[in-house]
Amino acid sequence: MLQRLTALNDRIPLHNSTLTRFHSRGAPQISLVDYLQRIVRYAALEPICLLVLLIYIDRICNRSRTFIVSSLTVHRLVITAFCCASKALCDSYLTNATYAKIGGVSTHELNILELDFLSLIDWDVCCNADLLQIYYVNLVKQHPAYTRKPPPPLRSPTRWAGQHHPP
Amino acid sequence: MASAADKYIRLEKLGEGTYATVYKGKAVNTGEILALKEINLDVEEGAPSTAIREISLMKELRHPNIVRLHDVIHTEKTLTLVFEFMDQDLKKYMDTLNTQGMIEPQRAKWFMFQLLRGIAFCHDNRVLHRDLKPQNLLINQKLELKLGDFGLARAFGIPVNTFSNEVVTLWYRAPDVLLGSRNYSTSIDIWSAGCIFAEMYSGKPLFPGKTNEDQLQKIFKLLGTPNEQIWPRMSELPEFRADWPRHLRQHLQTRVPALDYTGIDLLGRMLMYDPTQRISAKDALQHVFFNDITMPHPGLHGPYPHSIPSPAMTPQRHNGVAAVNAANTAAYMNQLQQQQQQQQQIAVQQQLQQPTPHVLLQQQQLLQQQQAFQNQQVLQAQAQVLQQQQQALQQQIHAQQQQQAFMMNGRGAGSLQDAAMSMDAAQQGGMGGQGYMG
Repeated sequence: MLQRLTALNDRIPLHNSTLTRFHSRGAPQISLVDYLQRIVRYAALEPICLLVLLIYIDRICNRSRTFIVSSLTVHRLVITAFCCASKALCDSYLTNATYAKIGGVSTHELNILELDFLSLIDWDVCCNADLLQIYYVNLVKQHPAYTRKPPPPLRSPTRWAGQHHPP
Repeated sequence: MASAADKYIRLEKLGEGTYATVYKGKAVNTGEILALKEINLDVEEGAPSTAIREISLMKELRHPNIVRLHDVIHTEKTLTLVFEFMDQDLKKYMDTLNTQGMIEPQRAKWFMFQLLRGIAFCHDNRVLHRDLKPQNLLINQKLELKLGDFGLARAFGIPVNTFSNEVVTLWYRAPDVLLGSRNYSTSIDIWSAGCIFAEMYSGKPLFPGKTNEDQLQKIFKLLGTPNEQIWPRMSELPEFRADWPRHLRQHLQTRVPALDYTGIDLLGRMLMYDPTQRISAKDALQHVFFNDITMPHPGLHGPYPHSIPSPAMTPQRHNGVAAVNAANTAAYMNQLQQQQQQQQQIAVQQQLQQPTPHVLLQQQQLLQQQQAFQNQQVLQAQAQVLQQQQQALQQQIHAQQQQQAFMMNGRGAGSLQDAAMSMDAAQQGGMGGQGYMG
């Protein structure tokens, strides 16, 4: 678990750098890494939720071609996804009010975001062990590759989820 | 987003739960009758996790024995789940019978069969229901039974730390969960199904406990206080206590007299203390108890499922149900004994002949490593010998399976009569219950 978590945390700068390189203006002040670490710290988030986040993002990108994960949207997406993932997968979870506080949005807004998120992903918030394993393996595989060779600078940032899984 | 009112007309209220209200409804377009489950969204909680799970899991589970989720509609304040309409739940159905809740045996068998099919499908799709009870089993006029209310359900096989043991209504909760186990799996649904099984045949809940402790005691009083011998590693469970009063195991038949011997045997296998020994839903469907069920594909035709006796039973039919039951049981007992013998044989053979997979793997690895050292031929020969041994063993097992299958199919009337007589003798001798525990 811990290994998985660190692997994920190591992986995070990639998201962050890829994103902020293109979308720095208007993005929330807190970096994605800090934001994720904040959520992990205060929400006692299970590592599985971090992994599932990647699956959710892929699913959303596949379902809705117009949805753009950018530094402008990613924070709200992340807190909403964690909120839903905890409810869907874990037997103990916090209230939306708490998630909202941790995520820095109002409870009312998170409630609306939650429903939007669920309909965006078409309520498909389950996942099986095999899928998780595939994502995990990919994640670990990708990380050393990243340290050796930075991502090509002018790749479209809109589909960063796609970059986890080169065809 | 279309609101629920645009697409569906609300008819009368069907029921009210803790977090949802269920209405009968009608689709505006098609006129189809549906069930509308309206969930009020809590300001603090947001969408309830029960709803999120129910929707996400039920969307994927399409099976004739699982209530179908047609649609989900949400507004800012409410969430409406649109289900196929079912007439009533099993609890209400049993309450309306004028037999003190007992369901006529053939019908109960049909319900049980469908229940297990639904469970098997869930488990095949790696979903635990975790709240099986008569109130959550819905039936319609075609006598189809479907699993509903997946609010506590969850996917299993994914690594999550927080597995709650506050699952399943107390009466239907498995002993391992009562003892605080958090790494339960499909077997907890089987325990619940076992309790429901008994309830359908007796009209009374099998273990109507009031508290956690009372629940355990009720179980112990019927099934005997468990020990490490029948339930290995039970003392490692959090709530284990060494000072439980010791109860002896009672006959299951005393509590469920309407159930025949094969049914009692199946019930015993579903109510095993050790979760690893509890029968799987898939295996339960193959149990001799269900041999006389013919399968109209439920959900498509669904005529009254009067079971048609299997050919083996036909000659006995006029001799009364008891004779058939006894004969059936006796034949089954023989089968059981032989199966056990065979299993023992196989086990011995395996010990003698078969290298364990682990050893085999090691050998293969060794083989690969040492190929460079030119003694590869020797090793390959070794591997071949191993392979041949394995093949021989598989053939043996196969032959034994065939033999078993032959025995299952080939039960003739003559042998049944013999068996019935021996069974009577056995019953007189007061040993009718042998072999329950498997």
